[in-house]
Amino acid sequence: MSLLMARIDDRLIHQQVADGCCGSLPAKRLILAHDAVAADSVSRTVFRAAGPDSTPTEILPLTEAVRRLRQLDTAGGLESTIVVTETAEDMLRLVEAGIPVSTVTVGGMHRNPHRPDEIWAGFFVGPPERRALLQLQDRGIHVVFQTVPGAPGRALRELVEPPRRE
Amino acid sequence: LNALVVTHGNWGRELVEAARDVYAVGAKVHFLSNTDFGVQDLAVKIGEWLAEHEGPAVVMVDVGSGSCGSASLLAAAGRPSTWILGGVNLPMVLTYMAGTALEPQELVSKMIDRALNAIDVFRMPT
Repeated sequence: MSLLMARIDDRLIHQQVADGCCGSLPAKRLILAHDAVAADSVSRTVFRAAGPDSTPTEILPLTEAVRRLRQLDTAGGLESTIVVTETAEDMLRLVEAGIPVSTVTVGGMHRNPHRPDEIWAGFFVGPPERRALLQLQDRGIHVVFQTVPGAPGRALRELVEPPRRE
Repeated sequence: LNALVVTHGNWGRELVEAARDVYAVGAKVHFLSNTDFGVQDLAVKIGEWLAEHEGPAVVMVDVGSGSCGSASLLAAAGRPSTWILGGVNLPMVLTYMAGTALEPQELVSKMIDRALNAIDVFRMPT
């Protein structure tokens, strides 16, 4: 079994996650895997408050998130769990740690100095993130750009040609 | 009391401009869109605005539990006399523009009151 949703979103927990994802999918828990937010009590309070009323929200550093997700994998709880990371690199770390993921949904990647290139309709990437997304795809994971379930989406493989291997 | 409106897209800009159309003279309201920003970058932008505008401030956001609200809360953490109000609407902005002679706390209370009372069901008398 793999995660109900593995989402990359640089707005972390907000309306699209609380209502658009947790509200439309059979989610029993929402996990934000984020070192800086987990380490700061103000940030934890803010993003816990932004979480959905109906779905318990856990905010964990990445290593703790891996431990928790392994526990859920053993107990059969992954298929009702939504995980959010801020970056593709963090999502790749979860996958490299052995967390079963079949699809990664990129829900929000906004423009900043490290993300100069618009890959599709308001989604921006920089070289490290592009590499991380391609690595996820190379592992057989379907990577899709989509704000919320049911919204128009586009698969990474339609947007980026994989680097040629000699 | 300094004022900033933070919303999704450009409707906050339109809201502020509509309020200016109503009160040609009135306190200045600044505007920031969350378009193109992740939550951390938006918090930095709001923090820069707060740093540029010393003294009490009110930040009016569209969705309190969305990225505009979260970024505002992160930016204002530990800053005294800063109010974050969710559910910004035209009566809230107009009340601010017309009321800056009031003490900040009193004005903020009035803004909340007017904004909440604007949401109602109106029926024609039968």
